[in-house]
Amino acid sequence: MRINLSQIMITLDQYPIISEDVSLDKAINILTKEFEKRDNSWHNYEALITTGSSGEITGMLTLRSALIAIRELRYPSLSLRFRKLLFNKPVPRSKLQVKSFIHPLKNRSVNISDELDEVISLVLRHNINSVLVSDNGRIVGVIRTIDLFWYIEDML
Amino acid sequence: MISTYPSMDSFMISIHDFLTINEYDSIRDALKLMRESFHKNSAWQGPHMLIVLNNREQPVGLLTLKSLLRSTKIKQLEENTSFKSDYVSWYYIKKCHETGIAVREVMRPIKAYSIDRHDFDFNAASAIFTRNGINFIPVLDKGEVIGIVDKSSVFYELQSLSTLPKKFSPFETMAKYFKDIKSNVSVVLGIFQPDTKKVSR
Repeated sequence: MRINLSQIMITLDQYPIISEDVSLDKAINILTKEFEKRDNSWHNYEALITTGSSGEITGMLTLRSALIAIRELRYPSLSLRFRKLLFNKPVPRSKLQVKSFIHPLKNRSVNISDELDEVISLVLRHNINSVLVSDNGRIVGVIRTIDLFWYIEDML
Repeated sequence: MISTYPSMDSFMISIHDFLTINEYDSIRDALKLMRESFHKNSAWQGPHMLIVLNNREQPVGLLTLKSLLRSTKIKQLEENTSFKSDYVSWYYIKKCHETGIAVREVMRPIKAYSIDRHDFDFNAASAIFTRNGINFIPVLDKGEVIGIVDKSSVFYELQSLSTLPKKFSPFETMAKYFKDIKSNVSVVLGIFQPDTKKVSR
């Protein structure tokens, strides 16, 4: 039986969406709050969908990209420390915006008419934990690796 | 002197909290066990990972959701004529077809990425997570796996540290400075290590 991606994706209204212009701190706080309440929630998420100035979806701020940001702020690399020392003052954390850390849509989206196998290939090829689903060029949902789990047995 | 870093035991998940599977068991058995693991402790909140044991009951790998997804790709190779035309591939496919895909074919070996308990620091751990796209790292103590740290816990702990006011004694400041440099250097050197080599950072 062919599985339609719309059957397994999480629709956008169930997923947190933030503007890419908001501060990184605000986005990290949303992810942190989700981690804290995880014990009581099944539909937990480890990424935020980001939108541009006109409301179009521009990508995702994943836990991995947030971790990269926090790490870089707390443990700046030697080259970054050197560059900051020589050329400019460090940007205060509160001034950093989400847009500097998002994963763009490229290599992260599939079409709603694609086969499930295409989603699995994308996840494995780019080593990611979630993909965006588009319908006629518009993002309509998200599929996480956990959502794919239930269909593996049918594919073996 | 009071350390500002949380103890690793506070966020490491003990190896005893994971379900285990033998490396020669089939992926179908692993799927059943993984479903059981989801409901461990409380509904849907159990670990999304199994510990793989060898015949001597020693941990040799991690079976993650991505490992299971990989098994569907091996299954597809049965239909691939160019892959089958190769003698070694043909033998491999025939074995998979007869006995099912074994866990060891898709698991991530413990030695691929690991971190030593006594050498743990957040910088190195987060570098392993972000550079390799993995969600779990085994923690070793004297070469034995004692637990797992997951990406979200390290994220949460690191974020908590970042929001704490920094109160270092001069000695601590110096120690932290040298630890950061050591960590940065080891992370840079780590780039040149192949993924399959044990990474003890």
